[in-house]
Amino acid sequence: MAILLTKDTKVLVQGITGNEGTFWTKHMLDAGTRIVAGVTPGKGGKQVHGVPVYNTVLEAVKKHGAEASVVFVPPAFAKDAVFEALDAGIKLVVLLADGVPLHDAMEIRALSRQLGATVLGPNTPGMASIGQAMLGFIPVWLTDVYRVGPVGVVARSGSLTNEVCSHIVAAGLGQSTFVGLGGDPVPGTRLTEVMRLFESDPATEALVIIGEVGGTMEEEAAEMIEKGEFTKPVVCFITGRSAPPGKKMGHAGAIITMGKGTVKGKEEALKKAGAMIATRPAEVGKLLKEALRC
Amino acid sequence: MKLYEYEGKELFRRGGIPIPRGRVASTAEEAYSIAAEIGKEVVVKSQILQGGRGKAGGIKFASSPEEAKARAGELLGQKLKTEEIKKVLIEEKLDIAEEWYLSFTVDPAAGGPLLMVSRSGGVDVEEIALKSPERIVTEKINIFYGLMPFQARRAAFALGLEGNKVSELASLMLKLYRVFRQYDAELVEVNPLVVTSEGEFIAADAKVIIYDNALYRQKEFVKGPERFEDEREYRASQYGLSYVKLDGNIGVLCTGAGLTMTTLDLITYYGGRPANFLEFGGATYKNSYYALEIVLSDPDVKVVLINTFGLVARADVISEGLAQAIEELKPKVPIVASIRGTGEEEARKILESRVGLKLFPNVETAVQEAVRLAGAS
Repeated sequence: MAILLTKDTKVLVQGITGNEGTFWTKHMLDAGTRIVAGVTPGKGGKQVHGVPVYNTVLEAVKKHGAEASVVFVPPAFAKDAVFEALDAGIKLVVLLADGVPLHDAMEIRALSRQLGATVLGPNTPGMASIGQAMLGFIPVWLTDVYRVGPVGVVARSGSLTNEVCSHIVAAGLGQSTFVGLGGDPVPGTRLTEVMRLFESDPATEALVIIGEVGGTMEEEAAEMIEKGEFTKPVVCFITGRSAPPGKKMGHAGAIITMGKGTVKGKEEALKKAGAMIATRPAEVGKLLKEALRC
Repeated sequence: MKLYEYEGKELFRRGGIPIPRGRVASTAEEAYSIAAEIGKEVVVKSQILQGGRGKAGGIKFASSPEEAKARAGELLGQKLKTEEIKKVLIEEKLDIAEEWYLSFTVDPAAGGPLLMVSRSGGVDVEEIALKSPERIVTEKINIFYGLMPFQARRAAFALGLEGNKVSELASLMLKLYRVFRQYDAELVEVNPLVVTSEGEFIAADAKVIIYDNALYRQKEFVKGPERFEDEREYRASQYGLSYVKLDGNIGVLCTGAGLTMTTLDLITYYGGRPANFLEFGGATYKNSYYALEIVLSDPDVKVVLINTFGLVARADVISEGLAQAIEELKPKVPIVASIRGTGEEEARKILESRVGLKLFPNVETAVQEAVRLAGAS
């Protein structure tokens, strides 16, 4: 088992004929992802790595029953692409684009909630159910970073996830599913929403939360744990303690304002709720072993 | 992109939101003629991007055009809170009875727009939120419906307004919400929203922040060098890199915002001080040449630390750019690197054999070496 994505999930790639779309489609196929179709308006009838390309998402859904979509279109067209996928009934959309306007992100979140769908991103590295399938940019073929195991991972940042996951593998453990929420201020899916899925996933025995300065998602997670709505062991690593207040550190989401959203505040809330706190990525493995008593 | 007050007020004017009579001036002479046009006591307001202008002495009153000219002459060209005053806004002095607060921003928890309004304005909203949160009235907005008139009325009633004042304030809120939406703002704030002794609402200040990633479709706003605190921050932005100047001596180049922040945290953990934040991940990984050039141009930098764990950012492509930069710029400071992720084998070849860079197997060892070198020099 896993959450959101398995080897059987029928996947669509929007923007499949672009450079990045083509490059990563190959990696996604190699990772076991069941890609049934691609979409690029005006390129219908072509093939990319043997995957048939259509002009519209609706066509691809009707012909192949696509259930999930990974979106490789530039930020200016991201909202339209996600709306097209949601309109065609797709229930899981991974929006990779970095640079999506805030107001578009708000509309994407509003529509996905209205339709009961899950949108990951914008500005996410994607997600992967290790050993089964991958959507986005996750280098699951690096065996010293990703290996099948009992640890769920959820993060706001991609390359930091690689760093942390390498320490999970070094500790002799591995991952069930990794979910990238994305680094923008309004993510399509929030941390606690993903935690609910991990809570009921039998393949996940512990959770690693890779958080970041700014926003309130980690505080919401702490509240959820405290209420007893998430019962599995949690190890957190929160980055950005040397970020000066009021400065955007790359992630538009990582801004400390109104005295809230500091690393210290987040760590205190999570600790109080019973989560374990790693102060460096290298500590995550050790804490996980303690948590899982292995 | 944060707008100057006079730019924000121009958007308010277009949106039909009442603002004080006045215009912006770049010279003392212009200030004179604007004050003469207004024909009554005026305020001379320094146009800088940072807050707290009043306390820093950037806002003056003048009872005649001559005095306005003199005050403008004193302010223009001066430094106020690290910014040079290039323009002053000359406006009629309002007959202030009360100072309120009104804003639209994004509620991070709900992921939608949020209205905030309070009768306790004139001070930082943070201060109001801390001291008397019950004095702030909020409305969560469904972005598909927009701010509904009933919500605006409900907020006005909650503030204790009666009669036609309810519809006056509600109408102002609806107009301000349209400005928020039309210009892709992450914040529009009126503080203070002045209630004059005649009972009129007037936007006495304007703080508008346009979301940077929407500037491609908000073409009238151009984020020029004056909007950045550091020249390098501006230059980096031209290549789509995010760079923030910090006060240490270890220059940092990383892929991914999260990994970059962690690298800074690790430098601090091992007793060093980062000179900057610089991330060249995502679609900008091809700009590693410029990234290195910008970091090397900082005279504070004693050692450069490169750390990648690329996803979409391919290590081989990054390394090609870095190697080229090293060959051309011949850096005088040592470079310490840990390069991992997609294409890392190819990257190792390029950097080790072509430019003789010593690569470290992981970030912890690379950081410790950088801290050692920074301390030794």
